[in-house]
Amino acid sequence: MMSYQEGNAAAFDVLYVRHKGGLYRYVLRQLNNQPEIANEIFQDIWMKLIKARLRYQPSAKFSTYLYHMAHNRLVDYWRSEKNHKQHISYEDTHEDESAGPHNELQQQQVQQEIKQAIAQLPEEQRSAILLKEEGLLSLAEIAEITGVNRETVKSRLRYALKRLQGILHPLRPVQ
Amino acid sequence: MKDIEQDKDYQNIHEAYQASSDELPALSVDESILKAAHLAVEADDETDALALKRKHRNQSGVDTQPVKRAWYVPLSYVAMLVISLSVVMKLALEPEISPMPVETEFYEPELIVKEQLKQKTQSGVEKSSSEKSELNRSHPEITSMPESPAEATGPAAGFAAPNSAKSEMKKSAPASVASQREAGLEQALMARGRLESETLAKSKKRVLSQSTVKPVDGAGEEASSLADVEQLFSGEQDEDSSDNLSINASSIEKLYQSTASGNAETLNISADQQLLIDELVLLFKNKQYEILKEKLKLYRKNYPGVKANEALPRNLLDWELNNMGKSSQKE
Repeated sequence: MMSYQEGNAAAFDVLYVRHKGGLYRYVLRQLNNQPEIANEIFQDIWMKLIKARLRYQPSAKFSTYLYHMAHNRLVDYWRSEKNHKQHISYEDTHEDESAGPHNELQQQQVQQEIKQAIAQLPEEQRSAILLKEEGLLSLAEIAEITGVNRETVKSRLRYALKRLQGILHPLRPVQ
Repeated sequence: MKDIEQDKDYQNIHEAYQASSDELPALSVDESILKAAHLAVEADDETDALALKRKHRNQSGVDTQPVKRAWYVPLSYVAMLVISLSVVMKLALEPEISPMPVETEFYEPELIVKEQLKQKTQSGVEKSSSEKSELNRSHPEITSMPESPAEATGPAAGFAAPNSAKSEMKKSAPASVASQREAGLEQALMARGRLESETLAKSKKRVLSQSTVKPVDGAGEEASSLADVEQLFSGEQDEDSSDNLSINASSIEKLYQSTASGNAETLNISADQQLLIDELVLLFKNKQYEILKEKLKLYRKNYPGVKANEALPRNLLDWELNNMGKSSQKE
């Protein structure tokens, strides 16, 4: 990011490729797998980053900075939507009817169940588990982004895992 | 954190989630983001270049805002012109304020001084006349002298009389008493004459110095009047001479009458009458009308006849006619 700040456009390309998947999925999961809105918000986040490039201070990891921006953008979105929870539609899950063999079908079913289970989690727990899984952030970094202390993040993660286990029980290991 | 990561259930969930996480943003989104990032860097370069150019311009001292600096100078000139013109127009259109009326009547301290001096000299004369009556009682030959100046003939009769008295006294009166009284009379008369000559000379000079006022002794007599004044002053130097004094006194009388009454020809009036006239004039000027009436009555009583009217100033006569009636003048 420092390199990009100094005017190296290629540095941004590297940065983008490195973080685009995780950030996109984080946004997508938070928005209950709505790709259109997720694309829009994802683009907004990167645009904000580009605009704020000159004000960037390397006080923490870039991923922390990036996911912090994403979290704030999602909060803004939810505030604007207000009843964002109503948008969570458990029926709005994509079942690929053209699944091929039985194993693939079973694997896709598991993945779908996981996505649904995450979507059913409370917002705080979902944020914590997604930041951990997609951003690969530590407890402290998650705590910084969400604005709570480290222990709170830890307990949220535990609750989220329990809940996922309950939803996915008996979870079959992915073959 | 390690506790959670080491949890077997978490490991299963983690693996299942990572296996399912293959979503990526749309290619159009990728392109737009990357394009925006590159454009931003290019824009930065351009702005940097512009800033660098501006910096160079400022350092070279080139005027960067020539138009902005130029406009206010002519504007200020125009504003000044408009304001000054409006002030001038306003002053020109305003109606002129009439000046305060100037008091034409001027204060004449000389008259007051003269009056005071005459009062003093009058008291001296009265004193001398009382002494004279005393002298007459003791020396009846002196009674042949005229008692009052009105009885004497000629303007300088009042002043000339003491001279004759002096000669008579020299002849008949005892030397010691006569010489004392003679000296007293002489001194009184000399003082009177001196003071009168001073004041009259000054007033005469003042009258002559005013170009608009012609000398009252007659046309073309300015030089002679001046000569008279000079003569008066020169006469003052010979104070010891009684002859000079009498001459000077007569000159003074002549001049004084001519200047005070305003008549062209010299009136045949006595010094006492003239003193009374002066007093009347002063009272009239000071607007002390009650006292003026009394004095006028006294004047009419002492000096009846038409000549007494001629000696008075015209304005005083008019005032008397208006305020005291014609009968008073007839008296």
